[in-house]
Amino acid sequence: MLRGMTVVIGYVPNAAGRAALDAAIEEAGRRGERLHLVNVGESDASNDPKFVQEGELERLRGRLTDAGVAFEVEQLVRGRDAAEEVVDAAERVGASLIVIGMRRRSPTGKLLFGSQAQRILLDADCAVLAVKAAR
Amino acid sequence: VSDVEFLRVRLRSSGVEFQIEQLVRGRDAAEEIAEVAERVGASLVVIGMRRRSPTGKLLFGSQAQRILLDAGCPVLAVKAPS
Repeated sequence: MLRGMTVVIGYVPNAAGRAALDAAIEEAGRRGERLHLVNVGESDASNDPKFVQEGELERLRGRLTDAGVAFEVEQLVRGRDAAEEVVDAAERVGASLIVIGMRRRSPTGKLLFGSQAQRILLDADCAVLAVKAAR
Repeated sequence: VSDVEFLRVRLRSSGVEFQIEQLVRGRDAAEEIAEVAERVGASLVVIGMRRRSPTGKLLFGSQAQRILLDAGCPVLAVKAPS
């Protein structure tokens, strides 16, 4: 695939992930590119809150279809880190951009930089858009 | 050409409306940028980021890290071409 024709989102079903999804749909639309959603589960994916379960997967596909962007959903459960999978997928599809959700600082101001977000930002070849949940 | 002149020429030829603000008052770059973003009601903050060193050493700039954490809006982190 040609480089720079796809926006990759590392999706986690939480508030930050949904904010990232909105941003990724907007970017794909603006750039006229495909959207490639990657969702990574741990070995016991049925009990993993980060893994999109069937009912939600349906809603997610509906949301992407309604948005009118060309998309692909990839769920991976093979004992590898989410960061690794997302960076690999971005390389594989020749992503122009990776979109990820990020936590806000806790109310106490404690530094809470997710290790997966950190690794994606460091290891990605392409630009990374980090989006936080709406306040 | 000075760096500022280069910036002006580049921005002018791109056709976007722009404003350049240089701040020298002993505060961190991260702090200044997060504040400017809030002041102007930014929709996006764009920053440059270093790549991992050839030895694979983790090199996460402290300013980049703080901007990513503190910005109220999305942050686009861009690397130089390898």
